[in-house]
Amino acid sequence: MLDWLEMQGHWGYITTALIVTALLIAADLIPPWLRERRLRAQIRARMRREQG
Amino acid sequence: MRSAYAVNPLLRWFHQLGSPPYFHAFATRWMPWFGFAALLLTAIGLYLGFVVAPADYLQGESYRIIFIHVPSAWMSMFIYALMALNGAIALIWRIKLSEILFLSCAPIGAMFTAVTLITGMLWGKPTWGTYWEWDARLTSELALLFLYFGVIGLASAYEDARQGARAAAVLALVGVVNLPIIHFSVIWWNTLHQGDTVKLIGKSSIHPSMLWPLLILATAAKLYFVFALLLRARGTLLEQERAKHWVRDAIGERG
Repeated sequence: MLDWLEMQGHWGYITTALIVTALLIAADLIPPWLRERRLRAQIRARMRREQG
Repeated sequence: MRSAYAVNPLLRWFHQLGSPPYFHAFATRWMPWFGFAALLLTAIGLYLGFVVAPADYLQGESYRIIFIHVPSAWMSMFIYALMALNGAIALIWRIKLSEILFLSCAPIGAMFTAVTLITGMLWGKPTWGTYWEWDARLTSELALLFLYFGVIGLASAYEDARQGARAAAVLALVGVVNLPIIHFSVIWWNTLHQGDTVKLIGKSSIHPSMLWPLLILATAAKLYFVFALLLRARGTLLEQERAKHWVRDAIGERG
């Protein structure tokens, strides 16, 4: 894989750097966003149960 | 006599921010703005850095990786300092919100450190001819990543979450010693890594056509950090305070 990357030249390294950064940002953002969504849904469900 | 809070609005605001309902409302209101500003500045910075800025006379096109690498490296150290500060406040004054902010900083800081190391490797290969060298700058940055992992691991290793946070805060404070080592490593030792190109004091050895995208992307990284920190802290706060009335009111109002 590294041989393939080295054959792509300078823009290969740049593109890989951009893709890896985008993936790491997604890995940083998505889990807390999903956790909060799930939590809000649980709290709302409990509120409905208590009201009903 | 008027109290300090009445005299100083900034002090009053800081004091209010320590209240969970106030922090939740603040995060909910400002998060979209920070997220949007980060996205906008990232788009502008990437366009200026990857399309408009000229190629470097020595390094060619590959130098453009600095537009990701350098802001990430600055953030990796800035976030650690902020994390340790919040850890110290949580240890000394037992402020719950500082503890939440301390723990929320760690994964974001680890992400920026990982970006720094990976993009540095991808820049190093075409520039130095190697992905990795055990020189002082690279090794101390790797140590920073392990410190972040240590803080995350230690905080979740205890059954009592608050005890885990206190142990992690001690580790974070001990690890502060690594920050000057990272910063001054290129001066103290003979390293493969180049010296500072952008200087706060004195003239920077970088052309304005390259400096501006770098500064714009550094600002975008700061705004992203605030966005991600508010997101993580708000989630943890809701989890810890889920039984409280203010949570029900806030969720009932906003859905």
